[in-house]
Amino acid sequence: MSTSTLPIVRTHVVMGSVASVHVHDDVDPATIETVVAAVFDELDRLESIFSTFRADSEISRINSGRLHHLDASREVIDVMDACVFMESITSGAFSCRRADGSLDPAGFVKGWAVERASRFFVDAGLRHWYLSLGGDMQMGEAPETDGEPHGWKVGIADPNRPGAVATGLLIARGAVATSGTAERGRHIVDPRSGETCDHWSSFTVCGPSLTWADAYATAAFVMGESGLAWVHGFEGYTALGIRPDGTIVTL
Amino acid sequence: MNNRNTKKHDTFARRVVPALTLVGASGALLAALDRPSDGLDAAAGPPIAADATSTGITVVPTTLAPVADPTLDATATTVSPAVVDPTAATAAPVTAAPATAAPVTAAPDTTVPPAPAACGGMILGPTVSTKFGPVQVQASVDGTGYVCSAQGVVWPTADRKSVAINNQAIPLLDQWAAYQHDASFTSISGATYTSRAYKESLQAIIDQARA
Repeated sequence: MSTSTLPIVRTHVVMGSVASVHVHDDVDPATIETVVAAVFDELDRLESIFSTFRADSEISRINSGRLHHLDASREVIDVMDACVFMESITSGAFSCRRADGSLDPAGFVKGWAVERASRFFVDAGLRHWYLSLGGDMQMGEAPETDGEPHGWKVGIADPNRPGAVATGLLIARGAVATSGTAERGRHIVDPRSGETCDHWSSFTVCGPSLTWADAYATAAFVMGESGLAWVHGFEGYTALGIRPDGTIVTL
Repeated sequence: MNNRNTKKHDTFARRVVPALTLVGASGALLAALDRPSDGLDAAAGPPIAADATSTGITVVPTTLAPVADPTLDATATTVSPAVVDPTAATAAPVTAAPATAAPVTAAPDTTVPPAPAACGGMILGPTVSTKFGPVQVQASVDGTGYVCSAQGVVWPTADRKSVAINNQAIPLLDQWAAYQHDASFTSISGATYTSRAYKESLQAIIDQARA
């Protein structure tokens, strides 16, 4: 139960971002290294399937007509299923298709891939770990602490002041995902209208699964004010929105 | 300590002014960057705490003063509303916040921790690609992850707009890195292209230093 030792920390560049792993379990470091390598390999593998930047990825081959989606791998079919589900329950506020109809599930795949890869920690019997990719994270049990509040300390970036932290969350276990914000003309647009969504500067969702926390955060960002209550309608999920004026809102 | 902070203020001011002139053209990044002094004078501290038991979220002060009832579960369900307005003068903790909770966004004097015992040499972080091009940071850190100094060494230069923006933004981010290295957070959720890539490259250096 000793968790006083420093965590094993590893980073890996993948999916146009950096994955960061912390493992606090007091077990053989070689075991941890093996698991971390498997986690990073899985992220690499999923990137090679889903990247729209690689001409030979399954998604690119589907988009260019060289592969029928029903002949795609299990992973692609799973993701497409989930995308259709999200599109349906959000009345189109969430979509894995571009305006021209081609597939671009990147917004869904990141959270899904991280949660999926993090199963290697669970399967290996590790308890105190987290896996973050570009600020979206899936976390095992927070390590025991002496005196300090128990929980992973997750800072929420201030969307209005790059580099600053707006607030912090203590999370015992689960997932945190943040959608936002506009930087240099890059906006989240409503797939139905093509219009920029500017109700929130950023929108954070906490819950058991990063797959859904990430997708809900994106959808709620598009929905605007009603997104808060919408997220809270899912059992186990909570939301925190930051308005352009800096106001932080929870429900 | 004071000298160092004063100097940073000066540097900040000098860099913020040219940044301001670009705000109209360069959108949200610089629009945001022209406001860092808000944070530095601690005027607009975000909320200290939200209701832990009812929201399923404990909002902790970024200064991480002890929180009274902290145990939280991301899987908890929630019911009652708690709207926290950081701009309200009465932004007292909703519940469960310690009486000693300091303002969240602090002045540099409180944000910058004591100088570390031993700063290492400059280490190159990984190159992080963004839609606009690669970003790479070099930084010196001590064994606990304290950022002694940070510097962007590679940033997007693919188009003229990127150059104009990043010539302003990266130096500002360098300054911010020293203020906002807050090593007490395990991780940070939510950020944006260039600044996110910057932080990721920097985070990798911090992670290696603590490993």
